[in-house]
Amino acid sequence: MSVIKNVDLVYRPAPLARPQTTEASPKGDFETQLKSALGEVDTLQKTAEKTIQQMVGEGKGDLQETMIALEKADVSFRLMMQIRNKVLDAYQEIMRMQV
Amino acid sequence: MSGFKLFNFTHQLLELSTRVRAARHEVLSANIANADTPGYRPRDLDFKSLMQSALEAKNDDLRPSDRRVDPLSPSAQDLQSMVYEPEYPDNRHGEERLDGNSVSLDRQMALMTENSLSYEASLTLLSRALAGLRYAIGEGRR
Amino acid sequence: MDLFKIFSISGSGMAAQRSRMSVVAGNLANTETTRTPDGGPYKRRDVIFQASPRPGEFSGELDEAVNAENEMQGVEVVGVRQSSQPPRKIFDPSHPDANPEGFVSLPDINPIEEMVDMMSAARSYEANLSAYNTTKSLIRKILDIGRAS
Repeated sequence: MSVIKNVDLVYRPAPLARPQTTEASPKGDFETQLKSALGEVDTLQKTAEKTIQQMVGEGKGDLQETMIALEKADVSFRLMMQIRNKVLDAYQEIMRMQV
Repeated sequence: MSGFKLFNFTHQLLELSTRVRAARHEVLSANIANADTPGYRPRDLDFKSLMQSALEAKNDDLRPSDRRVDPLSPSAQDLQSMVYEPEYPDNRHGEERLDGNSVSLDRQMALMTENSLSYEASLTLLSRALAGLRYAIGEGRR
Repeated sequence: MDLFKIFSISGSGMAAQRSRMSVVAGNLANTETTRTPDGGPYKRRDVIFQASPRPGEFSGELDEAVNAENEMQGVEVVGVRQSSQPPRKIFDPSHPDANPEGFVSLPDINPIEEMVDMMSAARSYEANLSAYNTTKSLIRKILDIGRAS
């Protein structure tokens, strides 16, 4: 009979992988973060366009790669749009405040 | 913003792709209709060349006047001139029947399937790109 | 781009194959027919297909501009021909249509060949129908442009 090892009665799962946080910029200010977010949206858009051109023009490339790239670009654009709207709303609200 | 274009190169390329695929659909339908017509040889559309020349035109907007034909918007005649009779190397004489017909129904159906899926893909991509523009114009507000 | 013209092309294919099936069915029905109004046994019939240009829905201006040689063509049945093969002869003196030597002339129709022909026609018909349906879904897809939000 093999040695029966002690089994922990309490099952402890491995700690959940934490979602990758973006590196906190040294200044950590809003402007820098916004700029990098915009840059990312732009990159995703360009990637999507490039895959589309490759697929349609040259016939190279994966349909799913193209669709996923498009979806990513789309989602990040929408997110940025909503953030922009909120920032705008906040700005307008501040401007409306009576001094 | 200099030279602002609402519909960029990618949009034009997608639009061209749908036109080209639609033209090819007509050619393939004619092949299938004539699958039993004596002496009929199947035809195809050289969509690859059409798309390649359009892709090459991307970096040439310096001299648009030099170009007789804008590869991004060919006329109906330009499209028709790209119709040809392909040689199928694996079946050059194998497919020809006694009455001179050399249409392989299976091959034509397979080509049509691929073609219509590519057509739908181009159309979907174009549709989404336009929807994205509309979203941006609407500033993302309902 | 006259996508509706493509319906006409596929439609012509379906119609032609149907004619072909109907002729084959006639052959199969008459494999034993020894007497026809023309006298003599039934002669095997066959359709004659020919490629022919189909008019588009909005034809006229556009068709003139287009090179007629490269025009996409549908198909039509231009005629039905009768076989000139000699009839099969079977020795059966008791048959009412037996000739003085006791031979009956029967149509030179092989049912197996006719069945294969029928299946081929059915398959071609299906292929045209499939092309027709594909055209329909492509047009529907065009109408959906801009619906994706």
